[in-house]
Amino acid sequence: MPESDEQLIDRWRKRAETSALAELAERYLSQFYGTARAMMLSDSQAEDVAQETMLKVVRWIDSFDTRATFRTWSYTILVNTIRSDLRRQKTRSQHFDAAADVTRVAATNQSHETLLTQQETRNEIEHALAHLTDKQRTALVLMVTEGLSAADVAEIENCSVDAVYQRVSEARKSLRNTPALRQLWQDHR
Amino acid sequence: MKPSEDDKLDQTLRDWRSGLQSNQAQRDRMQARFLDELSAGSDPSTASVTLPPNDTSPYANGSWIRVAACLTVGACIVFVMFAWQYLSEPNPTQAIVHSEPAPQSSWSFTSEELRRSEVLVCEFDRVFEHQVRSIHQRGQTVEVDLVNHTVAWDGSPRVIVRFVLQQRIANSAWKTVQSEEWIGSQDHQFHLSNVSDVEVQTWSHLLPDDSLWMEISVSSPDNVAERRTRHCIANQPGIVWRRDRGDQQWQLVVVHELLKPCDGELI
Repeated sequence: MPESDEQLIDRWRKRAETSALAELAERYLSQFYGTARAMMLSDSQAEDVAQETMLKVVRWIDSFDTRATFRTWSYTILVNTIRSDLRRQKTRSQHFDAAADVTRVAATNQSHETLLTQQETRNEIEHALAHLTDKQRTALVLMVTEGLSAADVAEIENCSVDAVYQRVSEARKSLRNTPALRQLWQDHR
Repeated sequence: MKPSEDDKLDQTLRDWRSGLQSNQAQRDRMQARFLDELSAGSDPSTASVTLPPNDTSPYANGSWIRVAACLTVGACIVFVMFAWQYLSEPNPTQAIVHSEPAPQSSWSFTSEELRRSEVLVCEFDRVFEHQVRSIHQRGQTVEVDLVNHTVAWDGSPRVIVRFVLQQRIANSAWKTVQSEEWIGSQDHQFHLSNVSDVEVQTWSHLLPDDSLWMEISVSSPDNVAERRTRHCIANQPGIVWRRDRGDQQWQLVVVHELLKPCDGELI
């Protein structure tokens, strides 16, 4: 049976085994990357953010209380790091890493039409998400696409569970009313 | 049961999210980078990462050598300050002394002020990617001094220092002429001028007990530069310089405190 995250942290704290951190990185780097992408960061930015978050986790690991869950704790750091990066992104007026996206799409084995449709769908969704407020988008992504509970999101966002539900509800409402997304569903029916 | 609009929306989002997974090459790259940086500690963001030694012996990883080296360098700096002061200052009344406590304790930093400054530092570090050398606050104006190369802040403690220049005439009540705050690192220089005709330059060094050794050079209109060395206790305002000029009296009050690091993030 694989060790839990908390057991890995315990192993690092007590015996300083680098393999414990390597295992944590193996589990979480990819998740951090995916969440960062979902929160509107480009390919390369998401890699950097995942990296930075993992290093911060190591730096602050002594402050982690093993009575809490590592996932919630690390996602708090991740969300803060993503927000920092988004602020910097604003100052640089940089959005999507189109070149990297093209490379990724080209690396898959799907038909040209399918790829175009998928790309178009992605663009529509990303465009709609970009119009949500930061709090709405964070709550929606963490709960709906990352599968965190409302209580976990509330802890990460330092707000009440009700506030999380409200943000998700507002985000859904806003997305449902986006013409491009409505059209997308109709096309898929 | 027919899925609701929300269910369909959530499913669309999950499908979209599943297309955002990293590929194997990216995963390998991230893992390798992480392990590299972990072992090298080269990233500025990991500057204060302390990896426990593999051996339980305190001497196994050589950390005691680094600590000893730091202490030696620190001691040398303090010694040079003493020596320089001693050799360059013929007036025995200008020997190193503790700063005289300021009568007004209102110059101490409140926890709210410190918290505000910590947030300010965090925000500037975020925006300028840890390239902030110092922050200077004068009234509502905030000036940021950035390093002009790619070496980011080294993780040493940030110190906030408040300078209050006061004047009074013929033993009347003290009036504040100028009040400024400066946030920098362990060793810093500060220049206070332009409102009054008194010009103050300081060089300070933070000691391990959070107290501050401060070299002060004050130039007045008669162009006589006076030098003082003072030892200041954290968050205890002290008068570091005082001068009578005719019926005018001037004094400089200094108070410092360490800022808690948050590395741009408040968790």
